[in-house]
Amino acid sequence: MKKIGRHSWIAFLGLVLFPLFSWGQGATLTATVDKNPVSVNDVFTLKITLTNGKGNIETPDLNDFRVVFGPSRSSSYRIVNGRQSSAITFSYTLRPKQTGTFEIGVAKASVDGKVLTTSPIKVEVVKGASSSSSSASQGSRGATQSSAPKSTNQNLMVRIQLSKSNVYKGEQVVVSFSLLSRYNNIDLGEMDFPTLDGFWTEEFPEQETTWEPTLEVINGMQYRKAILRQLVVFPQRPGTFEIDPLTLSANVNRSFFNPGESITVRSNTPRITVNALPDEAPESFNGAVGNFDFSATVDKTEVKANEAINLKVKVTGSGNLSLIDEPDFQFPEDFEVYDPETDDRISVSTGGVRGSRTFQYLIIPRYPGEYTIPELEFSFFNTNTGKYQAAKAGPFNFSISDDAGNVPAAGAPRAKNIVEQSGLDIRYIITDENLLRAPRSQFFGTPLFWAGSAGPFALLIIFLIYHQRKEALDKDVRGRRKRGASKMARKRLKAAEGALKSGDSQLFYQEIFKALYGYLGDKLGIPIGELSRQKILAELQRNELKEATVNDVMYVIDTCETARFAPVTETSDEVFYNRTAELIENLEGRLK
Amino acid sequence: MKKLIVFFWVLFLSSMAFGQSLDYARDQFSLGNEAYMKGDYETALNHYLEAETKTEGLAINYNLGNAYFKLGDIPESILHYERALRFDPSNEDVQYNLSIANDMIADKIEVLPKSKLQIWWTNFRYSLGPDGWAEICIGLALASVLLFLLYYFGGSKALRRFGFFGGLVTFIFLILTYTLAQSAENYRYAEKSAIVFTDKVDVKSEPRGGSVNVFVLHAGTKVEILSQEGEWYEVEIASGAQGWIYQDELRLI
Repeated sequence: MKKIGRHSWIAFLGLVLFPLFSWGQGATLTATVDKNPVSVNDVFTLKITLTNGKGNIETPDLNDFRVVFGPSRSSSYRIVNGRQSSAITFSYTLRPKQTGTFEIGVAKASVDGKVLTTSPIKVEVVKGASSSSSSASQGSRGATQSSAPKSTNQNLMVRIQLSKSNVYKGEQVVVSFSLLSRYNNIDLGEMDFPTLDGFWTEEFPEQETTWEPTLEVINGMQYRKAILRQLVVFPQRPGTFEIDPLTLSANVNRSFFNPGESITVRSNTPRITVNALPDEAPESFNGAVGNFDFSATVDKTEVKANEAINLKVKVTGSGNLSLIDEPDFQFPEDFEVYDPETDDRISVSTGGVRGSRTFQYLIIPRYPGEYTIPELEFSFFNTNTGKYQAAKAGPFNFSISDDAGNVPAAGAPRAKNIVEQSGLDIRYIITDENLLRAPRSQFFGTPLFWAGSAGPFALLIIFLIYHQRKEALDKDVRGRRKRGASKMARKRLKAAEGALKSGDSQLFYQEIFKALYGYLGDKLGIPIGELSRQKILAELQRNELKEATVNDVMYVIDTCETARFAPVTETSDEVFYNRTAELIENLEGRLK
Repeated sequence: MKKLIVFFWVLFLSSMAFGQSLDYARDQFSLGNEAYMKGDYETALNHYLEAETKTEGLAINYNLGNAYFKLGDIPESILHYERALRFDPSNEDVQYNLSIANDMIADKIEVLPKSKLQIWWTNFRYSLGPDGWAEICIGLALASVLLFLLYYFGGSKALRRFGFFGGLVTFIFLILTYTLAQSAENYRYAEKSAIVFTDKVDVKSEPRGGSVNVFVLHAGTKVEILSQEGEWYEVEIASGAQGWIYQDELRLI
């Protein structure tokens, strides 16, 4: 059992066929076999051909046969009377598993939205030797030419040329498929280009196949030369590879009289040696092989938060540009960076692939502040020197200002960092030992507290009691004088009476005066030093006594004053004595 | 006179002794802090316990609570945080650490929410401590006496009236402040609540071992003590449930 076939045709399902020019006629899909019936020991070829169209070809189920080789894809185009036509063919070399009749199912292709199908082919497998080839193609509308291939033909050759045969992995190699002919008239038929497994290919821009203006001389013979196809390949793994030959069918020397000769030629099979890249690749190396320049630019360095910044990273040069991945840069955390847009400007020519690949990053700083994008590094393997080489750009400094209430540029809500308590723990101890205090050293309730709070009141009360006592004492002195006033007066009156009896008139009046004066002083509370006629008069008037009584008092005092210097004649001493006694008695009732 | 001299001498000596023991407590406290800073909580705890014999207050209890917490003894740490709160119920650090410690114990008891006014009143009552209020008491007493003197000896009638009413109002405030001081003192030293120290305690319906189990408490839970009956305490938890717990299961705050 061979599993190759199965693998390969699955790989073909997604194949996109390359576009050609304007088409003369509509697209057709045909399936043919080169032998039918076929011997069980023989091999036969199934060809599925799509003409004048492009699209995915879905191959039929081939489980009844062993796939010996294939599918091999070939494409061809012809120019007939200025009309171009093309054909894409998948070829399978099949070997029957057993005798019998087997059906090859329907192949499908979708072209421009329409689905083309082939008719199924019944293959009869017979025992014995191979039957003569009789082309029996059911349901095929396209003509197929079958001929015994001639491997060598001095007049017609096809060649595969490599620009280099010893390269590094990833280094570009130009592959040219050329035709050398000595025929004057040639109609190109099928061209079976080799598949280039293990190589990444970049096709040259499509162009008409024309004879080159100069002739090429090989072994002394002149040939016309035409480039059939050119491409640039990049080996993807190390090793030695032999490239499969190019097979070309052509009809030569056809003229009005001559149906022509159909010949098939095979090309050489060049070998290519692919070397692995040296080991000491720098960290930033990501597969770029060739010779490049590297540059990075930013459009702004001072923006408001949430405004976009464009960072352009450009790789220019010659090499495997399409295989360069986006460089891995470190951006600040607070920058929102979108996946870069890749823009390729690549031209493929005999000089190889050259051009540029640009990565454009959209960066949105979310928070104000000073930020830096560190130095960007790009490294590649330089095929000219055989060494790794690094190129650097930057660093870039940004000054982001507050967005001042701008609506976020990208429409994204501004995510706020919530300060979250991630760990739960108790707070720290108190470290000030001066906060310590003696146990039960409370001030409240101590004698000192009581002295301080109740003491003032105690002092107040003591003070007030003392003050009252003193006042009461003062009042008492006056009261005693008052109470003893009449007693005193009576004593003095008695002394006056004694003086009267002894006939001492001067002494008598003196005693009368003393009795009344002392009495009034005691009674009215006037200190002895302050006693005078005016003071007594004022005090008596203040006590609201009758005027007659006041006049009486004044009369007695005046008479006594006069009696000191001259004898009293107008009244007898006895009468005066009685009058004074009466007056004191009278005053005693009035003055309280 | 001789007696008075002896009295003052004794007072002086005792105050000297007080000062010395406080210095000892401070030294131990500092050593504990150093050990705590290095993460040697075992040593820190020993120093703090030594200091605790000669001091009291928020700082020593707070640090003891932290050291116990770090050593994984949650009931002890809760006990000391609660003791620290006795000295300043509004201290945020103590409240925070207590809440963390309370999150680590088995019992989650629904606490009846307090109104803002209640919280303010509690904080106001205990904010100054008994001594703070006592000092205000003395100030008010002096002011009151001065105002009464003004009433007695004031020259004009208006001055006398001011002295009388001012003195009266100040005196009323003095009584209020004294009440506050007393309530702050009660809060600090009257042992009305306790922390459960046994891993699992059956709370009984009666102060008797064989009585019905009312509910179960676990180590670290705070209970209010309502009364005491021999070796049993009647307790109430924050949700309002009541029961009896044997004295060995508890430690008074």
